[in-house]
Amino acid sequence: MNANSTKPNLNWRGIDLITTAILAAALGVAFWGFDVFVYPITSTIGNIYPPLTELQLGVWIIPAVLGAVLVRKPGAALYAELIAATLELLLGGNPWSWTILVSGACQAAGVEIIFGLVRYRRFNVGLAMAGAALSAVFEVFYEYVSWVPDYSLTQKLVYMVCGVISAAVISGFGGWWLVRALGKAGVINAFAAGREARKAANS
Amino acid sequence: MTLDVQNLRVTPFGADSAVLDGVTFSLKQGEKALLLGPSGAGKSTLMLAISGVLQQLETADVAGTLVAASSGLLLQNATDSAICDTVYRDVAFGAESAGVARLSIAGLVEAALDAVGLGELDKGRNPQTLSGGELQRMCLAGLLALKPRLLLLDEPTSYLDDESAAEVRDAVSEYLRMSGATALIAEHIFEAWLPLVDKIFVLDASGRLVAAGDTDEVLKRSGRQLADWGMWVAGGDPLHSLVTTAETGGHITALVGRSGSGKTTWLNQYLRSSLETAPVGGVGWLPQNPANTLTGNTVLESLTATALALGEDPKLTQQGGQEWLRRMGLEGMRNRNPHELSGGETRRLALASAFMHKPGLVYLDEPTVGLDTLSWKNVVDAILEAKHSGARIYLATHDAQLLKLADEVITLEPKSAPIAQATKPQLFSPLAMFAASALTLAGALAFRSVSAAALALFAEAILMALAMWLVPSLRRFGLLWPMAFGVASVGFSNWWLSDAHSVEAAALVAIRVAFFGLPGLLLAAAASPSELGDQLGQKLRIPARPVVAAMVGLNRVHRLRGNWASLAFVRKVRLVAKKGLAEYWSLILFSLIEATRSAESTAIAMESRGFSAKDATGKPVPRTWAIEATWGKLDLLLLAAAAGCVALGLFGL
Repeated sequence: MNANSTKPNLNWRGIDLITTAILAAALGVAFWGFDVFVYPITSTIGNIYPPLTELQLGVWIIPAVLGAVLVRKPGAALYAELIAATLELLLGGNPWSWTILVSGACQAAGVEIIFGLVRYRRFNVGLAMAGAALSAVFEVFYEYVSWVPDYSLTQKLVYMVCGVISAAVISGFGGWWLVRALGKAGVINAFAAGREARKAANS
Repeated sequence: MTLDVQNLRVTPFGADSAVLDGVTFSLKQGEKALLLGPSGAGKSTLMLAISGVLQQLETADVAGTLVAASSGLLLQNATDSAICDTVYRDVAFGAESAGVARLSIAGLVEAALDAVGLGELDKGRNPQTLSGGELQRMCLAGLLALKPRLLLLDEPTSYLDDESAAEVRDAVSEYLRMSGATALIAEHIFEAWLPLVDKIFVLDASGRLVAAGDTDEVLKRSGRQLADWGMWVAGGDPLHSLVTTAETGGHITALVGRSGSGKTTWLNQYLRSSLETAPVGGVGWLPQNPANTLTGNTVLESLTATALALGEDPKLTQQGGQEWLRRMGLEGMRNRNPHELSGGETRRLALASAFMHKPGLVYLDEPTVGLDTLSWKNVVDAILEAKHSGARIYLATHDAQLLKLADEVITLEPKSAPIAQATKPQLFSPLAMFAASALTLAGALAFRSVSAAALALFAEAILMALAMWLVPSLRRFGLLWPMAFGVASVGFSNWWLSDAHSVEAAALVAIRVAFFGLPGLLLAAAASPSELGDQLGQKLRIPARPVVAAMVGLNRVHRLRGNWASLAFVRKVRLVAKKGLAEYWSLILFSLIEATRSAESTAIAMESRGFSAKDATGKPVPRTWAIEATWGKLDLLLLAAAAGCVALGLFGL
């Protein structure tokens, strides 16, 4: 359903910018709830074996996938992810403080690269999962340097695998699914992604 | 000719049929016209097309010719139309889009606020703390700042109480009188506008222009037709035709008071306290935002969810649901996705959902706002029926007709003091705080000696403590705990999961994390999105549109948080909340749906003030900034302090 041979319009409309910004902010609010109410619990449990906490990584990559799959333009993943991260920073209550922005850039990079490689012409769930997984790789490398430099090689590997699986499932599949659900609800008819989702739902 | 529309045909992308079908009409300089028609006739679409916003949005196919003077478009929902976090920024938005120089903007804002009678208003106030009427007049000021030759008003007063509506009309008529501008006004309850207008245009349900001409002539000729369509035509008192049954059982308490007097708060508090004693499922609720009641994949599913959760017979519930849909004029929509409904349809579905499970206690927040006479009768019928079956009903309303049904009326006085708002103090430039933070990260990653790193962290902590001591608003100790927790777990895991199990190495990692994390507390406590936007746009020269849109998104946070909370609460009251993570996921989806809907309205409001405006040659108009981004001595001090701490960590001891 996503195959499209015509050249896509890659210029940002006003509604692209505004919808992405407000959706990212809404996700930022959801993350803030996650940071404050869920993360302390899961990461305490995770202290039994810390690399397992990386199974949550995907939650934070959702805006990148959502932005890219909804808007289908270069920079959408980065734009959405940075806004969500800024919001999380301004609300406070998370252990990463402002470096959440560095993470945000890493978490969008993979998604941007994968959709850039197909020149913003296909936006299927497979590409979304691949993009999210690549983003996880970037993020985990950044964490190797700043957060877990002393882990042994084996532990670093486990850490990476957990992060990549989480990203592919939660943000890759989850982000793609959210856009489709928005499309079925009929609230993103102004976007090609929304019109395609509705056509698929009606047929 | 100020406005000339020839054969206008609008088909939204993905729609099967046109919303406007061959509309042709024109308005001469200074003429004022009403635009009437049933719900869904395409009045809003016509307004959007004339203002050029529809073409900016690129969401529909627009055919035909359209010539219009510079226009300003005022929308129904002022809450979504308010874009910025202060009155000043909001009123200045259009001027910024038009590229007006900063020095001229101040005068324009002042004059525009004066023109709508808000000259005394504190321009630093957050628009969302204004009353409904003030907010709508502020939005009007935002349009008037650009002195439009054509004023387009799309249901400008339908959410307002009578007094506030009159203030908006006065401000409009004053501007039209002073400027000689042309106006096109769409409004359901239109009688109060009649003295102001000379002409009436009527659209039918399929988007065709069916009547046009002088006011009296059109009213005489089409008055009956308009009344049949549910327009509020003079002389028609909808109460007359209501079936009144004998007084039995229930009781209706009405809350009145101007918008901003706290009716919603009162209603919600009462609802919460009654939940402690009310039987399960014994409460029906139409919340302030009716869209929060929507659930499931179809309209029928959404309607019947509470009854089914209460264990009522599925087959009977289905039949009852059908009956309710018929009563509310929604029978054709049973299998549609509930989120596709228009604002008015959503309100009617939410009303049916509040009554469907026959609750003994009913709370209704503005049940009749924006309804045509046909829906109005159905809604009032439903309220009376619930009363006669013994329900206790509380309703907040500014509908004088509805008030006549109340057994008891409570009048709330407007709060004298505006709602306190948490404004972040301007201390450091947000950019300076980011730069200082980035410096600490770059430095920390190069730290090699534990003792030097510890010294650097110590110095940094002293400086932070000093800052907190000097500036009370920075004392956000709550932000420290998650960080301390993070630092501890980083230290522990880096020791435990390493090959060497070196305490020293793990301590170094933990100290680094604490060192580059601490300055972030400043950002969380003292950075405001708007100031950040000013700095990014002016100092770093990042393109204005993405920066401005990001600011708008970030400023939306309090509303998004509020809506998240009320969505969660409504789902509990409706007994449709799921458990644990499944509910978290549902809340994410439904709050994204709601955010998208409000984003579309905000996009319209921003485009109507020239957000994506292009000049005659098709190039984007360069945006100006109403408020200058500055760098001060404090910013340099901050950078110096950060550099000093980093130096200690690199070269100390």
